[in-house]
Amino acid sequence: MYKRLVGSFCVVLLVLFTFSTILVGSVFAAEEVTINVWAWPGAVEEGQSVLSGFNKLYPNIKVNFVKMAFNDVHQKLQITLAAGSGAPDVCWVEGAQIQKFIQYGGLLDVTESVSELKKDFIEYKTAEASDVNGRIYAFPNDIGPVVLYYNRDIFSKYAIKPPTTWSEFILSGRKLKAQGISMLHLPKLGDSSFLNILIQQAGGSLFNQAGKATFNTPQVLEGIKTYLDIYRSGIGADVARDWSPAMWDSLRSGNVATYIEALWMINVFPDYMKTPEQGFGKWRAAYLPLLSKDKVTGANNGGSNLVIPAQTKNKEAALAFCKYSATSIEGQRFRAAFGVVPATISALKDQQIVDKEYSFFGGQKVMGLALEAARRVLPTYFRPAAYSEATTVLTNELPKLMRGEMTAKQFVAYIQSKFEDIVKKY
Amino acid sequence: MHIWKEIKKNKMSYIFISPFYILFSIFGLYPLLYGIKLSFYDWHGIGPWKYIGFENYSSLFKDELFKVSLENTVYFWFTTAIPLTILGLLIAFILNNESLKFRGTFRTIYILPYVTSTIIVGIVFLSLYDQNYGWINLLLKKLGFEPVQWLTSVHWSKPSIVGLVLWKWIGYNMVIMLGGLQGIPRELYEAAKIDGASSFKSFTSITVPLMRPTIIFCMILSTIGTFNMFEEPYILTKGGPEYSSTTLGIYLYNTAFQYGRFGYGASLAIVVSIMIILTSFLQRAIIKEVY
Repeated sequence: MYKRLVGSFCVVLLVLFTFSTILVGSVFAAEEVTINVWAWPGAVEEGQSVLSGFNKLYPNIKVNFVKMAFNDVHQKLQITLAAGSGAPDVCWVEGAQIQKFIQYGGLLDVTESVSELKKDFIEYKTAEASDVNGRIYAFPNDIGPVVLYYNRDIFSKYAIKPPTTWSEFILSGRKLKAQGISMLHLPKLGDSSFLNILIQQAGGSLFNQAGKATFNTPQVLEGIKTYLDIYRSGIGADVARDWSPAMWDSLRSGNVATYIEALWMINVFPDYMKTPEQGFGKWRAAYLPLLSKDKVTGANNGGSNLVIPAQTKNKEAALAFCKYSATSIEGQRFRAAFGVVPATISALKDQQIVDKEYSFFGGQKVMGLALEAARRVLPTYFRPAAYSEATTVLTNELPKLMRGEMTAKQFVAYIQSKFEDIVKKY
Repeated sequence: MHIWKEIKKNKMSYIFISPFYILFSIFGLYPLLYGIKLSFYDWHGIGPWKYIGFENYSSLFKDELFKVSLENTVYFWFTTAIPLTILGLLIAFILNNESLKFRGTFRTIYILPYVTSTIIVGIVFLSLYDQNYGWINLLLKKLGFEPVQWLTSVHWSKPSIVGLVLWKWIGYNMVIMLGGLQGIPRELYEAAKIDGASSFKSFTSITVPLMRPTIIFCMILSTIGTFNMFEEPYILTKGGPEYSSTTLGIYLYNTAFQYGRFGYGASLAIVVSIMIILTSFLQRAIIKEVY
């Protein structure tokens, strides 16, 4: 009798257990979700590279990529956020525009999700994706630490080592100028992009995180003075860094020996310098020269983030995708192979990424520079909604400084007042 | 009641012309009214609209960059709209001459720039105008002259754009003028010839007065085109250097779509539209008065 009772009890327990497993499993298995992800060409491929790993963990989440032109992604995101409907579940957003979207609202607060991973993200990247209260609205995807690209053949020919400071850069530039070679592109009308790199290095910013104009500061003044020192040394070529045929010709022909830009240029150079005669294999990368040996700082230009519009109906699935895409090592290795610099410390230390040899750079393991170059970037440069108009003003007013119509101090005060007028409109 | 009776009587006609008016209402009238409403608000593309009354308009008239872009646009009007009309008429007059050989070929050559994409033309002109490698400067160097900073000098940026605009649009004006010329009875010229009139006299006393409606049409189109000018300066100079080639079109585009200031951009668009309307009426009145 006792044995029968125990046996019956076991059978009942087994049946109950089986049913509950089926019930629980069916709840998860039945909830198939499709999320829409908007991205530009290149970014779509990055997202697709993580799908096989992502779907192993989340077989019920289907990811539908919608590829559109870079500008269209941002414009359509803006329109759909304004309309309150039609936005994707996840969207790629350029680093320079993320703060505009944060300022105007419409994005999901992802602070808790990003905070779990924050230790692994490059510091300035999470700062870029935060508001003044420290709430985070995007997952860092990739970064753009600025480095110095130099023509190794020219440097070797004239016994020049990659300069470690801007003073050394100027001295090397003078040596080359004596041979009829310019050290960099530095047009007479000015280069506001290069100026912004130097301002970042000095710890300055056009605006603070609250959107207040901060041009009239000692840091910005230091950046401007360094810029003027380089310009007035006469080592520059009067050619704009605008990817025009003239610019590329100057690099291909060896008339200009260096190019200062973010690491994502790894992906761009080979398109314009395809053969050894044009420079393929002759270029190398080095850290951005420092303002001084005791001020080890760098700059960032570019990068992107993943955002989730607050109107999404698939919040959990979108969060899962963003977390995975931003941190999966296979995704980050895929990015790095194409010169897109991952935004996590672990990826930038990954041997496969660090040891990859780039044939354009004669086999140099260029990505090995990324971690240190990124660590040097101060988390003090912000691009609020007024940034776009401000950079247009800076570009158009910079010639006044270049012609010597104003001193550096007068210029910062002048631009500060212009920026204050602009801020009032936003 | 009478109107409804008329409409009912001719309902088939109204049905046939209704698609245009329906589409115009959706894609023309509605956006226009939406834009007028938006011009009284502060809005940045996301978030709520904030009513500010006429503040956008009062800011516009104090805006230095609006004044600069208006001056640049007026410069372009004088240097493109007027020459295009005059040259279009002269070239059409020459090409209308029956004794001219290969007229068809010449007409095709003149119209080709108009049918070519502005983007492609702009890219080609970017290369032509390049300071270091452009053909124009290479030719100047060969002739012993100093190269010119066509696109990076505040003095040359506008003339460079004028060169592109004249090259691209002369054919368009020529075709319109040619159509008008072919409507003038030949007998008038024959009669004038018999009376001893010279070609110049025929041109000024017969051609120009009878071409008045066509000239007005061309001038109005050129005025609209100039006030909306965007592609040519944007491709060549992006409105620089130092705002020297920023037109109202570029300023409007930057304000609304680059900076996201849609309310202010809407007020700018309304003001530009009013300027175009007033200028068109003024031109019509002047040309009618002179001829």
